[in-house]
Amino acid sequence: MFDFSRFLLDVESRVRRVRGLALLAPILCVSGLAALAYATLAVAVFSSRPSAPEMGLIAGVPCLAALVGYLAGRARPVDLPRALLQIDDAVESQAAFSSLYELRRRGACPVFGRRIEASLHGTPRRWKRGVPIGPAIPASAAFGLVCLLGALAVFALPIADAPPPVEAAPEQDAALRTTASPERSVASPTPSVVEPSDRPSADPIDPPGGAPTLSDRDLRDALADLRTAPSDAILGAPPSDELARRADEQRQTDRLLSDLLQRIKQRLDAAGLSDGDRESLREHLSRPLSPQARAALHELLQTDDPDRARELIDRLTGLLQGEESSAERPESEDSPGAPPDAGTVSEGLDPFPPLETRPDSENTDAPDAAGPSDTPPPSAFDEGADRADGKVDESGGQQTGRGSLETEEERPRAGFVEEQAPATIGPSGEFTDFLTHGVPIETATRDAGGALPVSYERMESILRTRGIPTADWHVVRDYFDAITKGGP
Amino acid sequence: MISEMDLERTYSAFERLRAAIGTVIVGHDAIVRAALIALLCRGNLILEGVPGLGKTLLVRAIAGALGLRFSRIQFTPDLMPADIVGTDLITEEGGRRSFTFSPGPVFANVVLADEINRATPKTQSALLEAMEERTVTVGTKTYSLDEPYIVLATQNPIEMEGTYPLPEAQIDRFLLKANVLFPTFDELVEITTRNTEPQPLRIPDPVVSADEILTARRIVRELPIAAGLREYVSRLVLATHPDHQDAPPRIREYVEYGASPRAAIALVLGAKAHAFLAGGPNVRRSDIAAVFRPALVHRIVLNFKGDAEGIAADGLLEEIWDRVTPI
Repeated sequence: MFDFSRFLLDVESRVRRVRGLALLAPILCVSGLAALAYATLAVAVFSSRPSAPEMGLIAGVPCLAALVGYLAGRARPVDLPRALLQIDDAVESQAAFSSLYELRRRGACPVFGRRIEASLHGTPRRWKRGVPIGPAIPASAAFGLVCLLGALAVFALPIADAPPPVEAAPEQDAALRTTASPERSVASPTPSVVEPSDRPSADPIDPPGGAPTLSDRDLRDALADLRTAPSDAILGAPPSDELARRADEQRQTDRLLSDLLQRIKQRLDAAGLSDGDRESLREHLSRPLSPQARAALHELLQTDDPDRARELIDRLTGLLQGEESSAERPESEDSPGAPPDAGTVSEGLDPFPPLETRPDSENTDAPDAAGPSDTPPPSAFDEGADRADGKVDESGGQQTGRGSLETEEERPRAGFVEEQAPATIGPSGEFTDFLTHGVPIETATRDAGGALPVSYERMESILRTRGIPTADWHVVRDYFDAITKGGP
Repeated sequence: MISEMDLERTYSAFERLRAAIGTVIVGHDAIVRAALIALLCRGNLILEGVPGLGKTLLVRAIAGALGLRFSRIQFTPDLMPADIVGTDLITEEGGRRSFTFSPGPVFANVVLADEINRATPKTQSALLEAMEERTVTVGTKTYSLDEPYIVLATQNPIEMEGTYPLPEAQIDRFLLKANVLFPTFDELVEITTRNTEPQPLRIPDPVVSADEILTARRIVRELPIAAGLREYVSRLVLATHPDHQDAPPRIREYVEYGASPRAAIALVLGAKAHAFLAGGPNVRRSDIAAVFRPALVHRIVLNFKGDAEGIAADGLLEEIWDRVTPI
């Protein structure tokens, strides 16, 4: 026997459910999408990672909105005649359900009711087709859920993958808040060098008074800490072996090219470069070279003027020697005479050269192929001599000294421009600051998040000067991305 | 309250009626059905077709099978209203003269208004009251017509010269309009056979009583129709209006006036009657489809462009039917 009253209840329940889902799905879709967009923006642009309650909120708000939507959809009044007509249409019952409902509603003429019920032969099993849950509902709901899970994953993944910056942050903050101790000054002499030419005297790293401010010391201490921190902890996989191998390869290439250039220079006559010389030089173009050296080599290959060729050979030789000397520096840092903390820095990876001394003014005629500020000569960052000299400022990590920090052989290649800076009178006497071109130390203060701002252009300059193979620059970049949380 | 027995009895009575009409009329099932629907809905039917298709015979057969009083009015241009409704005559009785009403042919149960468009509008309008109100007013006195009452009018679509097209107000009072089509080959053979035999055609004897017709009318009104289908009917009618949002583009282009609310009533009632004749316990969409064209085709007034381009209302209605859906 067909129980029409029960059937009506079932239909109403299903209609309410479908309406609820029809409202739930788009809300979940939109809110999930919004959560995903928020997560992506927060992580990728603002580098912020939410706390557990915030993540709960991000996941909970869309779910709550969807639930409210579902309940609101269910609460809406049901147009039962229309739903019954849809069912009639779906099961091809010739408007029997809707007519039967109309009869019940009017409470008239049971004769027709009995005949209609008899024609139905019980409840059709497929009546739910008349109140379908359209494909858009599960699709959009699933999409919303995926977006929501994606948002959580976007938040969760960086937290799981980058514990060092998060965990190191308090330590860094602590280190930054404290004044540098003498021990730290000895272990890691802070760079006190900045670009003098384009830096006004009000530069916070070199205030007019000469004494470094607290923020300057904080910055220097932080950089020193980063220098002395194990690179493995920051970068993950240590690439030192591979890096050393590549550096060796480049060093050998440079030496071979340097020797070849010397030989060519010796036999260079009025006819300029021979075809054999050009062929030999062309082979070196396929090998790793710094951009300046490559450009000079190109120019050499194209010139027919012997004088210009000589000039270019000299320039190229100078560049190669500079790269070679800078590439050898990490090895010298591993020498027994190097400071104890120097060994903890990966070879060729140290982007923060220690204290640089100020060049003498008479050395301004030294080669300066890449300009005064962009690419200082490689030996300008030779820290071996500085550390061997051992002169450090115990008061604030400000390394001092006048000229004696560099050997006479290094000075001509350094291309430093000496500039007299006001002397600093500390607890242990008078010190003189040395300002050097092209040292990639940002003087801006930390941002609110504690990230250290770094200029990538200057870092590139340093990397070129140091002879780091270009293929390995990304390691350095990853390093700074790690310590600056991806921000500038 | 309608009982199961009433229902069975009425169903069987109309089965008999259709069978009786079938003994005289060859084919024309749709016309017979339309006439019965009009009868069941207390409406009137206009038949359109060329002469000689058996329209008059059909009406006479229906009237005979129903056992109802039949009258035929041949409409001509000089026909006067009094010729239809009747007139007061001065009679002398016992030396006293008085007016006595002499009823016209409109006083019958089944009235055949043959070639109704040949009479003047004044004469045509004499039928208005009878068709709608089932009353006739002569002078200051109103006379009621006997139930069941139905006017079956015919008009010739090809001889338009000297005709007076029915005004909208009058044509709207016809519940349905049916086109009497030329018989098929088999039907034509059967017609010639029946009409050329020694035994002349015999109008069927009454098979349905007036009470049964009135009971059938009550049943038709009780027949359930889903609210959704009623809404569907309303949407269909509204779609015939050129200024309505659901109107198809061709309706907007060629129609001057759409169907009246009376059309919606005719559609619902006609669908109910159709369902009754089909033996169904409720109205289905197929019932609406069956009466959709006859109920609306004469209620759509084409504009000048539609008339000039010879647009047929049937085509416009098909477009509406395809466009408007129940759900």
